[in-house]
Amino acid sequence: MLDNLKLRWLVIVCTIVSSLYYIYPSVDYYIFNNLSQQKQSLNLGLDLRGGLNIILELDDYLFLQRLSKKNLSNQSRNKFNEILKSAQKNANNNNTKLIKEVELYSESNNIKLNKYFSNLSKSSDNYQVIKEINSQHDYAMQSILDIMRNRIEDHDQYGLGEPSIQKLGDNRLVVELAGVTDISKAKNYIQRTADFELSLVENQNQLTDVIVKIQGYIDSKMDRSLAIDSLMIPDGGSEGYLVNIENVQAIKNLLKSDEINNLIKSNSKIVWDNKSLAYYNQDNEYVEYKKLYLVSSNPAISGGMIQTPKAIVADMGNNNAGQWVVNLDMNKEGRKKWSKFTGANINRQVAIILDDLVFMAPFIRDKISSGSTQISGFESMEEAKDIASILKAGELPAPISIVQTNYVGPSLGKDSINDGGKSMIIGLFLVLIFMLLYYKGSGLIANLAVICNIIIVFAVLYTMNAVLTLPGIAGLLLTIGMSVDANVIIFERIREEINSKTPNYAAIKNGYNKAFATILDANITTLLTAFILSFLGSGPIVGFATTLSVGILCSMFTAIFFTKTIFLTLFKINKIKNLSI
Amino acid sequence: MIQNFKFSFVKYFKTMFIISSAAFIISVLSLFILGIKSSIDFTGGTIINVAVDGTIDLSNLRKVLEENLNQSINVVEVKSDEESYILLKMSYLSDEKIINDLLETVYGNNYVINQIESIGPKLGDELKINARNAIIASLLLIGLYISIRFDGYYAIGSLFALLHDVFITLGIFIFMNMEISISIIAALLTIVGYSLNDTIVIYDRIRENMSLNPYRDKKKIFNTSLNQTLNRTLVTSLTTLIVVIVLYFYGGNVLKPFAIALIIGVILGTYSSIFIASPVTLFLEEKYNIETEED
Repeated sequence: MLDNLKLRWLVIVCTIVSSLYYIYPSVDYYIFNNLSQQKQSLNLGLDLRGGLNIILELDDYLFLQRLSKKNLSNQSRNKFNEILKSAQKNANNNNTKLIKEVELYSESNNIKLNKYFSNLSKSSDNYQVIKEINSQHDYAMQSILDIMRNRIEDHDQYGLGEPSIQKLGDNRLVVELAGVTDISKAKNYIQRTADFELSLVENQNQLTDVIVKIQGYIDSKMDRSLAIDSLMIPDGGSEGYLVNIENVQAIKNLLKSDEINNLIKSNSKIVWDNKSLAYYNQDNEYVEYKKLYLVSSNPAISGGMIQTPKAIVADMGNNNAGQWVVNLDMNKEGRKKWSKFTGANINRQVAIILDDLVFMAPFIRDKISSGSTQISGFESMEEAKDIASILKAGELPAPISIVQTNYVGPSLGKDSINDGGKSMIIGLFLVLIFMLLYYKGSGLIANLAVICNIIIVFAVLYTMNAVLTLPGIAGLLLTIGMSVDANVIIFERIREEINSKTPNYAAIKNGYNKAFATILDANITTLLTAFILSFLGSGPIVGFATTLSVGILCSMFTAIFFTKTIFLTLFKINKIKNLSI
Repeated sequence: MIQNFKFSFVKYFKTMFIISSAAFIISVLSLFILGIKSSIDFTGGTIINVAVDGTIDLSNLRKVLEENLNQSINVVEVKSDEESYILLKMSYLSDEKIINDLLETVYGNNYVINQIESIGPKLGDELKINARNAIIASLLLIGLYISIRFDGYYAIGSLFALLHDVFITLGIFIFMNMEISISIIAALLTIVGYSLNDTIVIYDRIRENMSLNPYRDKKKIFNTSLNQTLNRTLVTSLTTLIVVIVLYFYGGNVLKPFAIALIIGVILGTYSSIFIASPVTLFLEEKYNIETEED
């Protein structure tokens, strides 16, 4: 018996000592502010620390559009867009994946997908094409994940705390940035596709042609509320048109429609300048304009060919002296293409385009064989640095959109820590007092078990690398309330045994034995629901489910094994005459 | 201190069951007629919590926001002893920059954004489906577990109790005009776990007593078992209630609705394990399981 008891104490002491070892750094860090212990401390969730949590989603629609064959005729392109639109509608209605719906739609309408994806698969079997699309999709997600990691790790402005980036399902990413306070800037930085291209600006008469056609279309179809003919030709012989800033949004909307896009030749596209310009017009009014260009849709140089982008202040003697610029170089393939391209297009303009916005459109004066290029036209140092980082990390295979944002400001986070901590301490205190009053001496033993349980739970959470959130604290608090249940069940059993005149020692033994199955059953059901909760998705709820299930599991050890050992020891040392229960 | 109870629970089974059924039916009806007030977790939308230093002209703020965003915006001021803030609620905005700019024009530098919660409509739809599936899955899994550990009659009894707890809690939320968010769903699932925990302790005792006295009247066995476990039922409910009430008063605004759901749920769960789960099982046992085989 004594050997058994010694073994029991050995297990208990080892558990508590190792738990204390694990939680010591957290106590040192959070309570005594010893900053050097941060790395070894339990992580707090963003709802407590403050920061930005966003969920990004790969836009499957645009992904498929980009993945499809580049040189489709306008007719095929329209047909393909129709397929995508119908499939998207079905996907929205049935809450299914777009790719799945494209497959179903093609099957039921006898569409051969390889017509649009002959670049991926020669097979006429739709199943094979879809398989290839899916593997491209997985690959795209992986590269988005890698690019995001590079972008965020490269960037010091957002590097407060450890950024965390994780995949969620098959087309989403969760990005967590602790300590960020400028939400819009951070979101803008993350969301950029970083689609970089150097493309030839088409001749002015081609653009004029397009504008005339669009104007004709508007005249025939709509009322003339939109004055596209108020466009101005910029000075200095450069290509493009200036659009009054008031009309920009309307024209952008117009350009989204398929009918208008069909008026533009498929080898060119309309792009906008990223800044606005202000001029005095004929009536001497100061008016803001945005410039639009017609550029070739086959870029001379694309993102994959550039190297070592770097944001610097341009030297004296440079055209952009004193301004922030991004210098970049090209790889071997890029240099070759660039040299050929510049040689063939002397005295024409090339547009430097990032995410469909023109940053600048310089004239080509000479054949350039070195490959080094400079981009200017940034609004601020941050923008230049952001763009250098984005270019360095590489372009995303398809645009991503933000589908969820959770931001918690630093003061709210502090309030939540205070609230959570306060309710933990008050809750714990009240439960301890209640148990002591109700069960007296035995209550004290149960209370020791509750305190041990909390220590062990924190240690387990730390070793699991779990994140403590506000709902997580609620889960812990609930655990305190619920974990005494095991002791309540045992103590009530012991009381019953004593009432039926069972001797103390036997009463305790019987009490523990009879209660065990019940406790197990009752805890399994709580674990079952906590388990389902953890599938409910969103972060904070998972935090609640984690602490609740860890708490319940650990309480099995403290409330049964630990308290029983104390009772057995007390009997060993000194036969208890009156059991205080 | 209370030790040995000798309540005649069985005597009240019918009355309580009728009262509960009425509450259940009213809750289900209100669910269909009034409908659930979903939070942005399920509908999609954007909520921004702003603390303002100095005068808060709500109507002016609303006017500026609505003019610039072209939608109706719910602007509420929340005031308590320790804090006050404005909540702006609108349909989903993927970029909050415009709000930031507008707040700046109204309040200059005298404001701080405390919190932004923004959920795209598609994600909201998905969460809705997840939440529904989670509740159904938990009920099924629990039914299965009880069927295996006890038997079908017990499973049916416990499921009645769980449906009772979940729907009446929802009903109370509807009457209190409170939103159902993902954290309320989490609370409901926790209630399911808690209520079941209570039920199982009672079931365990009933089963134990049945196997000890296989030929005794079942009503008596049920009544004795309920009395034997009553102390435990009350003590555990009390300790759990203590912590959820503390959570309500000290846990801050974020956790308040969650704490309310848990308070309601703990009370209902305790009640239902005595007055729903046990009567239903007793009824089934008496009606269909006349020759008891002890097991």
